[in-house]
Order: sequence, then C-alpha cells, then structure tokens
Amino acid sequence: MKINLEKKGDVSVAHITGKLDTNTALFYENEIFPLIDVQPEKNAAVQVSTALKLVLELQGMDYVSSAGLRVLIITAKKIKSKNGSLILSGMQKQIKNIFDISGLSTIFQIVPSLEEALSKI
Amino acid sequence: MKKQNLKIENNKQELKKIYPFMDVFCKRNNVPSDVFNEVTLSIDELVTNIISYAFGDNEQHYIDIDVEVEGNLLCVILKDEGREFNPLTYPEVDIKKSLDEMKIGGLGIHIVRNLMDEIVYKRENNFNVLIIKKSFSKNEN
Repeated sequence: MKINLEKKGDVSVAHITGKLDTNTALFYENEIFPLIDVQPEKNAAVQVSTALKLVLELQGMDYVSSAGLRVLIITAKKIKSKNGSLILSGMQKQIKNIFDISGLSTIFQIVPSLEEALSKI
Repeated sequence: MKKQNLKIENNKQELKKIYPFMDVFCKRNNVPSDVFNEVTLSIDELVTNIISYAFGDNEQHYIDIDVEVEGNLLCVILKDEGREFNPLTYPEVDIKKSLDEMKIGGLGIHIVRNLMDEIVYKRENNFNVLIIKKSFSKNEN
C-alpha cells in the first residue's frame, strides 16, 4: 500500500493505493492518525493545516479487509470528535460492495470523484 | 490445475501469500475477477481469525488452504490443528448502527457470511475444518 498526501487549500487529500488489510493497517494509522491527532496549541502553524477536512482518495485501492475497515472507522470517529469532515472518493466497485455489506455506506460520505469531494467538503 | 494447496504458518505476515496464490489459481481456472476478490477476502478474514484465536501458545502451527474448482463452483477448505474454534458461533453484527454506536471489529465473519454461498464448520480428528463455497458463471469476466 502507498499513501501520498497533498494539500488542496485547507483540505488534506490522502491518495491510497493498493491493499488496506491486516498487514498495512498499521502503516495507514501511522500516516493518517497524526494528521487528525495533532494538537493545535502545540504547533500553531499546523492549526490550519490539520486534517480536520480530510478526503481519502481511493481510486487506486483494490482491496480492503475488515482490518482495513477498522482503521477507516477509527478515522471517522476521530474526525467526528473534532467536528471535522471526512469524504471518501473514487471507490472501486468491489470496495463499495464491502462497504454496503458492512453497513458503512450509510456512515461514510462517499462520492465518485476527488473533484466532487473537494466541492462538498 | 483444478486443485491446489497453500500451507501457511500461524503468523500474520503469512497472510500476504494468500492473494498472489489465489490470483494465479483463479486466472488459470478462469474464475471471474469478482469471485476471485470475494473468495480471497473470505479466506483472508477466516485465516486471520484462525491465527488470532485458534492457538493458545507461541508455538509454530500450520494452516492448510486447499482450493478446488469443479464446474462452476469454487470450493476452499481451511484446516488447522488449533483448539476447537467455530467462527460461525459469532453473533450476527448489527450493521444498522450509527458511527457512535458502531463497535470496532466483528465485521470479518459478517463479510464472509454475506459473500459466500455456503460456509460449513466441522471438528474432525482434532482439526478445525472450514469449508466455503462460491458458484460463478463462466461467461462472466
């Protein structure tokens, strides 16, 4: 799995490619959670660039297991606790199927494209 | 090659072997890509559970994964020497919960139940045996 981070204005975009599963979930946690957990008072410069507006761009993600869903759910809980917003974009059909089965399609905001995510967040 | 075996150790790093093994097997046997994805994920979930819960020691153990295509049916048999462990006794997950109510975990077996046509658990000669089956149309892909 690869994660490329970029900033689009005040929105953090994480492009995730490959497999999000038991063996890559920790890598995801290490890359994404610090963006959300950063304490603004400790670093004022980061305050505006925290991931309180986060788009996970999943066009290149071809596999997700329950271990991957687990870290995505934690991401959503963390962002909600900070009154931030999270959108998932570009999800492949087989991944969307797993979200539907797991009841996550109603919990996450899911849009077809990154452009749409950026306009809605 | 209609039948193949993969033997893995009870170590989560070993899960990485499942995807490429299934990829080669399914391509050779013209299994449609959506069925390949669903069966591979199901094996991943079940073997993850076995590695996490079936062995109560720090010893090395093995899990046998036998895959077979017969006609338009893909059948997988998972066999391990762990303590008696039937994942089908897990209570059903309530997926209609909100984010706040949603518990982390428990989704793996729920996903397998929903993706597979059939799941059977047996305890046989001190082995746990899990059989999953998924049928497919040969015209797909």
